[in-house]
Amino acid sequence: MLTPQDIQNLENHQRAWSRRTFLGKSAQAIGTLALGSIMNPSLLGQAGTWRGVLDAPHYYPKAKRVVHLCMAGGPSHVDLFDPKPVLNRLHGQPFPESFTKGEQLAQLQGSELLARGAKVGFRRCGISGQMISDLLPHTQTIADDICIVRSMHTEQINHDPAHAFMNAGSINKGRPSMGSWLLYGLGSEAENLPGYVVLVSEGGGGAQPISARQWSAGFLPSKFQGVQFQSRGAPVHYVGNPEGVCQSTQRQVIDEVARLNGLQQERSLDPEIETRVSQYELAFKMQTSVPELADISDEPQSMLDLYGVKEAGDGSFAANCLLARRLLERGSRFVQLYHRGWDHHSKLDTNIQVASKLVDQASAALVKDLKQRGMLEDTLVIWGGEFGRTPMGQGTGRDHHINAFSVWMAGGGIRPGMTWGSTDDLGYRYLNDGQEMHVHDLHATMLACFGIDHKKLTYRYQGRDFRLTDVHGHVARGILA
Amino acid sequence: MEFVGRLHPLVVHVPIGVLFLLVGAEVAGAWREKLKLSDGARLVVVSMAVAGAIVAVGCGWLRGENGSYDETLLDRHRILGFVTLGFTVLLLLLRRRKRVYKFALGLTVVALTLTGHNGGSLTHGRDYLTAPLAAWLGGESDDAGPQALAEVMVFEHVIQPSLHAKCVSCHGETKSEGDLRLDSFAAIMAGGATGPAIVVGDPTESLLLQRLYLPMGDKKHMPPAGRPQPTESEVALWEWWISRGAAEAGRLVELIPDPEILAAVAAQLGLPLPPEPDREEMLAAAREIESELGVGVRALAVERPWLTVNARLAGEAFGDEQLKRLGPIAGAIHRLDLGGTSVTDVGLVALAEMTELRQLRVDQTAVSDAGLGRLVGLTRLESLNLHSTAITDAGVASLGELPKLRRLYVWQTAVTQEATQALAAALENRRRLTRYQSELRVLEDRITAETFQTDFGYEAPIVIDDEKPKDEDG
Repeated sequence: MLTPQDIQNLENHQRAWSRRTFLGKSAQAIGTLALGSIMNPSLLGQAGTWRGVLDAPHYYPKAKRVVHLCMAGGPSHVDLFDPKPVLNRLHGQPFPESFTKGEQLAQLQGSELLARGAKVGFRRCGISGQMISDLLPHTQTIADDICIVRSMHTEQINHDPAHAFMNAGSINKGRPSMGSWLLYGLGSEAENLPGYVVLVSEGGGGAQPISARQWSAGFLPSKFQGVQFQSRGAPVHYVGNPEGVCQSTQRQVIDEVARLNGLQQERSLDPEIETRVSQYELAFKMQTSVPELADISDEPQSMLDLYGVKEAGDGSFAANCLLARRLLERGSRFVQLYHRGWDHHSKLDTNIQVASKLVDQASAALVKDLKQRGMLEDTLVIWGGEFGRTPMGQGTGRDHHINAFSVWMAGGGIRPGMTWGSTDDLGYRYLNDGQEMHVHDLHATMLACFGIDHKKLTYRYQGRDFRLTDVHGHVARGILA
Repeated sequence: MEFVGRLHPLVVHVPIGVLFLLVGAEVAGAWREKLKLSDGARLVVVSMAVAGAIVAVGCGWLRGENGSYDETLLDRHRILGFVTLGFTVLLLLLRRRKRVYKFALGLTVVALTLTGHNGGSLTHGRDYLTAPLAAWLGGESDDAGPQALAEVMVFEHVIQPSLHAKCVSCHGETKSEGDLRLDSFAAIMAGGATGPAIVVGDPTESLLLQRLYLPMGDKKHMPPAGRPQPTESEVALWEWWISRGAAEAGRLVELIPDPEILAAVAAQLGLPLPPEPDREEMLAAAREIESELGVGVRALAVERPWLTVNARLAGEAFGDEQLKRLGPIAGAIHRLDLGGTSVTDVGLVALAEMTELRQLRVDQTAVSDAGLGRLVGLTRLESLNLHSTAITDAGVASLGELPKLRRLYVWQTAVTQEATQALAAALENRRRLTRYQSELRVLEDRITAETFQTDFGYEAPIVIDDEKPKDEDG
C-alpha cells in the first residue's frame, strides 16, 4: 500500500531527476563503468594506496624507477654527442640544399643556411670508446655506464608541443604524460611521498617556460599527475601545522574530511573524490616526510662535492639531482628534472658552456651515486632535450631541429657503453639503419625496461583504448641488456 | 658414378614390384584356370625381374663403394643381393618346370625379403624396425630412465637420446657419413673427417651446431633437408651442454641449470618440474605480510609466483623477527631489499629458505662477515648489495660459494680492491673448473684411445718419451 507520504517521496524523486541531472548522472555512470578498474579495491594496497592497474608486469622487469633529466630548450647534438667531421670542414659554407629543400625549419625558414661546425672537440671515452664532447668532462667519465642514442627524432619543432610530445607522445591536450602512465600501471612504492615528482632549474641562457601540463595526468585520474616541488627553499610550502594545531588534531580533521568525502562518493562515484581523499592523506604524511626528505644534513660533504651542490635548496640542477636521488631511494616511481637553459639561438659558444657546466657534473654524479648504491640496476636514467639543434648556424647560435638529436640512457636494463643509431654526415637526419629511435620508440623501450608491453598498458577513454605510444612505437631491443 | 649409386634405393623397387606381381599372378593362376599366366606373359615378367635385379645390384654395388657403412652388414647385403639375383635368373631358366619353378619362386621371395630388411638396416640403423616393436612387446624397457629431475644425467638422459633420434641413423654404427659417429660420447669427441664435432665450452665454434645453424637451403645444413630436424629446445639443450663443459658424467642439478633449461629437460623427459609455489597462494600470503609488516611485495611475472619484496620502506621497524615472518612466501622471493632495516647476522638464517633469490640488498644494516656465511645456499644469487656495512675482506672471500654472483656493491666498507678481485677470480675459476674437469676427462679418454702400440718382436723395446697426444684439431 502506498501512503500519501510515499507518493510525495516519489514525486520528489522524479522532480530531482530533471533532464540536466539525468544527463549529468548518466555521464558519471558511463565514466564509472570505464573506471571500473580504477575503483577496483583489489588494486589498492594497504592504507588504500594505488598498486597499479597491472597485477604483474608483462615481462620480467629490470627497472623500477625513472629519473628523467630533461634538458629543456634542446641541446645541440652535433656539439655534445654526435661528432661530425664533414660538418666541421664545411663550417661557414652554404649548407647543401639537397638536405634542407622543402624541410620544415623554425626560425631559419627563408634565411640563408650556413653550415656550423662544433667549436669544442670530442674525445673517445672509457673502454667503450664512446665519443663525448669536452664540454661534458664529467659525462665523459661515465661513458661505460651509458648508452648514447644518436638517432632520436621527434615531430614537434616548438618547445611546448615538443615537450608535450616527449612526455605524452602527443601534442593533444588531455593525454597523460609518461610518468602518469607508469603510476597508473605500476603504482608507487612511496607511501609518504608523491610517486611522480617534478623539479625545475635554469641557467645557460634561453630559459623557455615550462607549463604544468607537461606532467599532467590527462584523462587518467588526476592522482597520477606529477607534483612539482620547489627547487628553491623548502620543496613544499606550508607543510608545517599552524600555531596551536598538533598532529593528532590534524589527523582528526583529515579523517573527518575523508568520511564526508566518502559519503559524497557513495552517491556520485566520482573518481575525483577518491583522488581528493588520497591527496589529503598524502599531504598529511608529507608533513613529516618532506622535511625529512629535504634535510640533507645526513649527506656527507663528499657527497655534496660529488654532485657539486653548494647549498641545499639553492635551486640548482645539482641540488635537484641530489634531491632526486633521495626521492628515488624513498620509493618515488618517476622523477623529472627540467633544466631550462638549452635554447641557444644565439651566443651558442658561451651559453652551451654555461649550461653544460651547470648540468654535467651533477648528471654524471647521479649515475655514479646510483651505481655505488646498487640502484642503477633498477633505475632508468634518461638525459636529453625535447629536440636537437640545427647543424646550420643561426647567427651565433643554432635553431630548433627535429630530424636528429641525441639522448643518453643508463641503468634500468639499458645496455651500458654503447652508441645506438646514427645520423648522416652533417648530423641533419637520423639514418634508417634499423636503429632509428622515434619518441614513440623511446617510450616503448622505456616501458619495456619496466617489463611492460607498451601495447597492453591501455586506458579506455572516449570510446577507445589509449596508450602512451598510441598506435606507434617499437622497442629498441638492441639497447636492452 | 656416385649419382648412379645413389639411384639404388629407387631402382631396387622395380624387381621387388615385378617379383611380387609374379607371385600374385601365379597364386591367382593356381586358384582359377582362366587367370593362369600364359608362357609368353611369364617370360616377359620374369625377364623384367631379372633385368631390374641386374640394374639394382649394379647400382647397389656402386653405392656400397661410395657410402660409409657398417662393413659386415654391407657384405651380408651384397651377398643376399647376388643370391636374389641368382634366384631370378634361375626362375627364368626353370620357368617351364612347374614344381621346381614354384619352389624357386618361394625361395626368391624369402631371399628378397631378407635382402630388403638388410638394406633397410643399413640406411636406417639396425634396430630401426625392431625398436618400436620391442618397446611395444616388452612394455616398459628395463632401463626405466630417470624418475625425477634430480636423477637426470645430462649426457646420458638428455643429450644422447636426442642425438640418437635426430643424427645417429646417418652417423652411427651402421652408417657413419663423413666418418662421424654420434652414438657415443667418445665418438662425438673424436669427431669426423672435418674435425671434432664439439669444442668444449664454445657452442658457436662446435661443428655439430655450426652445421645446424646453417640455413635450411644450404647443402651443408645438418640434418639434411627433409630429415627430422631437432627442435628448438633440443638445440638449446645441446648449446647449454656444450657451453657448460660437455661432460659425459654429471648430474643436471650439479650444473645449476637456468629455469628455461630445466623446463626444456623436464618437457623432453616427460618429468614434472620441481613444484613451484602456487601463485595465488603466494599473492594472498604476500597481501597479509604487506599489511602486517609495512613492506612492499609485488609480483614479478604474470604466470609465475615470483615476488619482489621491499622492506626498505619499513625502515628500522623491520628486523630479524619480521624477516622470519616472510617464511610463507620465502620460496617465491626473487628480489629482497633489506637495506636500511634493523636485520642482523642472526636474522639472515631466514634467507636459507629463499633458494630462488636473485637480488639481495642488505646495505646500511648491521650485517657483518658472520652473516655472509649464511648466504651459502643461495645458488641463484646474482646481485648482492653490501654497501655501508661492517663487512671486511674476510666476508667477501666467503662469497666464493655463490656460483651465479655477478654484481657486488661494497661502497663505504672496509673491503679492499684485492679482495673483490680475488673473489672475482675465485668465481671465474669455479665456473671454469667444471669446464676444465670435463675437458680433462676428454683428453684422458683420447690418450687411452690413441696410445701407441709397441711391437716387442725381435728388437729391444722402443722407449718412448715426450710423446704427446695429438693436437685438438688433429
